[in-house]
Amino acid sequence: MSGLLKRREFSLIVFILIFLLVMLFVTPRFLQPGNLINILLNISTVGILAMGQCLVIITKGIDLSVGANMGLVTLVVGTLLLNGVPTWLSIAIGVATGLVCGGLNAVLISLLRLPPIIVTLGTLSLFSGLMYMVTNGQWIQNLPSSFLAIGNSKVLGIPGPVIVLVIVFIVLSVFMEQTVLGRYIYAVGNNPNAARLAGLSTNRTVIVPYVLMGLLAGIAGVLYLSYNGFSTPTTGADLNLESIAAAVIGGTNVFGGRGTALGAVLGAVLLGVITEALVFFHLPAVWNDAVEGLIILIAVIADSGLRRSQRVAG
Amino acid sequence: MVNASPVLQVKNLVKSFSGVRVVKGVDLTLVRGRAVALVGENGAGKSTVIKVIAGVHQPDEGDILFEGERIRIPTPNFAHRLGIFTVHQEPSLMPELSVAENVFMGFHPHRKMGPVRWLNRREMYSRAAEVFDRLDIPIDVRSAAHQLPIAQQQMVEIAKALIHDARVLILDEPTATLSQREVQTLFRVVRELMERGAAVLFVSHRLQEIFELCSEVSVMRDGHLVGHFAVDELTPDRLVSLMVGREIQLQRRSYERHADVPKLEVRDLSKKGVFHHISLKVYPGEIVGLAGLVGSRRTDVAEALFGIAAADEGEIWIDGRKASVRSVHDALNHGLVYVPEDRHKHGVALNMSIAWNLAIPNRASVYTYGIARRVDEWRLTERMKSQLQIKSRSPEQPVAELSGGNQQKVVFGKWVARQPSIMILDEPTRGVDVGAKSEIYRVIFNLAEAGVAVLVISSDLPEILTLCDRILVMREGELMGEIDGKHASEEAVMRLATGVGAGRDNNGDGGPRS
Repeated sequence: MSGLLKRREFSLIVFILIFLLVMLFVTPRFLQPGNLINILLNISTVGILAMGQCLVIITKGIDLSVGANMGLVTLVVGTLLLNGVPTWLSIAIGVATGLVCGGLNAVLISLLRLPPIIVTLGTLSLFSGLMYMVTNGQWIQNLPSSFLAIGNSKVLGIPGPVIVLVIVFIVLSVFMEQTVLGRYIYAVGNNPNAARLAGLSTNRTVIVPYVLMGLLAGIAGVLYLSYNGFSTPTTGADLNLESIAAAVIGGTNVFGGRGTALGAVLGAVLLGVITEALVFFHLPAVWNDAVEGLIILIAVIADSGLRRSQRVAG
Repeated sequence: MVNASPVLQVKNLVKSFSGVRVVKGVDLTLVRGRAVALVGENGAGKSTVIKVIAGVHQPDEGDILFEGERIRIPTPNFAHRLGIFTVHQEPSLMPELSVAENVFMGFHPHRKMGPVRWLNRREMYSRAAEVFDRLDIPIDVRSAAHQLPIAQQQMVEIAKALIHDARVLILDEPTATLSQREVQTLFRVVRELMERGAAVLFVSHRLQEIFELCSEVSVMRDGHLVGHFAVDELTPDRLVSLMVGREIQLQRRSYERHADVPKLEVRDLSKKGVFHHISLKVYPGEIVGLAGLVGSRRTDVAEALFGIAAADEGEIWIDGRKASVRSVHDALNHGLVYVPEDRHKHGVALNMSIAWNLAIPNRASVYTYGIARRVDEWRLTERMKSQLQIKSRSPEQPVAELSGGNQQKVVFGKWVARQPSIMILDEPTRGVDVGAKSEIYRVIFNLAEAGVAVLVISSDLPEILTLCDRILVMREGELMGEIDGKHASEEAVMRLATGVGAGRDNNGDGGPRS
């Protein structure tokens, strides 16, 4: 039980609940079901990316290019649709684009053994450049309604993107906790040297999170475009760091080895709740970044405090 | 005895690293049901031989024969499939993962469905619990590995090798951090494996253990195989001289107390739930041992004295004056230094040079306005090199390239250079070979002769008996008694440390309480 209480996921849930409770007193409208679902809808893309980011960070890596990857997917899918390519094929090619981009990161990092931060900084520029080339800097809009229906669909009142978020969450959680490959990812992040001595192929294991990240960028890109109905050559630029922020707030250790999909999603939820609260207080959006930064710092400080208390106990 | 055919043979093994020959033509034969000891000073090439067999390194020349067939062992994974398992010297745990997962890493119990291997947690936990039962270690296999004390971490390392039906079991200094009792359980389990036909290769610096477990000894010196002997034809002294190529004696010194005022006095030091009512005195020039089993909280006392984790209650007196030691800074100002237990974690920055490491705690003498004076840095390094006999190519050589004994001397040098008046040494020769050990003893003796008050924490009983003028024994956070070094025996210390056959107010076997 004390182990549970010490978990970041638990303290995040408590924090989010307290926050909601405070908001209930300030403006009861905040807690209307419609608004809560709206918050989840708003964070569905960043939530999906944060889970991928979590996996990457667990292996001591980082993916700075994921927002650009997702943005590229939106433009590729949009361009295809506007050129009359069938919806399903556009989506498939879009997801494949995400996978290829993620695969490029994976190959550079695992086979050529280059540092993730440099590789993804490079591919960030590469993908951003491609985004301009795909549309010549133009916006994508006026998409076919059959495509827009996906992002705006509802099942039992729950928006499609939220359902996808939940499915991705369940699949990734099971993968990370219940499969041997998922455990290898933790092992490599905990102690690469020990993993090698235990007979694991660290290089091959490190490929997995980056490829998954690419797949998730593909899925997130399709959701983003079909929900918003338009995209620009700078789409996703803020998601590079926001996905990292959500993962770190959710308890993913930046030094590798620790983190959960649940934490990453909760981190995204917390960011979403706060953004929404700022809207209710009519505070300008620039506050968002400051608050986000503050929460990241608090999360990291709480982390180091937690570690210290565990060390004394242990 | 089981069929005596060789399981694994190494023939004329040669291995170089960056142009330096580390192993120069070594032969080794491992036979079913027998334990062979591989001994030699640190840097003799033992670990390299082991890593070649374990699939970590590839040999430059020579053959490996497994069950008579010539093979290559390209990866650790391949070695595992042959049934070759290795307990490596330093614990290499995955701190955030559970104990059970650490034990089963790479061998997770699983069910395969299509391409997916589903983890079977229940089986993993129950099998891990079984292994620790067999080892007689009370351990929660679901707890995270980083919560374990270092001795239990080593047991996790050992458990990793024991879950398999190993055909070849390689133990590279597995006992360095273990207590006597844990060593006995380990040996019991290893003997069981040998009875089932496993061949064992055992590396240890504790000669007693070699005589206890092994039937044969291969001695390496400077990359060569010096010889292969049946244990019966050897004595410990003969073995040591084979290892170092010269006679070495670990001898006590004689000591008379000169001063009336203790250099360091501790009165009733307590820390809730950790240690209680610790009172001790160390006089100038005296070497006092702090003995006890792993977990007896000796290191916690040392950390309290050095201001790392201050005690809740009690007083520290230095030179007859009450001193406030709330931080490492305070401790250093009082002339107190602490050489920590785990040198890789706390002692040295492995990738940095000897000169850099030595300069760090000696900023005042080496830096001006935060800029290192290279000449003084080198001068300091040369002074420490000659005083402590550190063997290295140059002051700029990274510490990682030195042998364990020389690394430890660098750690010593960092603090000796400050000319301390009180030194606390925590496991000063852990993982250090006999030759380097005697050199480190001489350094400690010289420091004491020069008037330094020395407090030595060690789990190595012969070491405590050789070094110390007085021995204090701790158990579970309390001082159990005091023994005069001249009359001390391993048995007397162990009785107090384990609480077997001794009352709580027993003062030990002799020597008045000071």
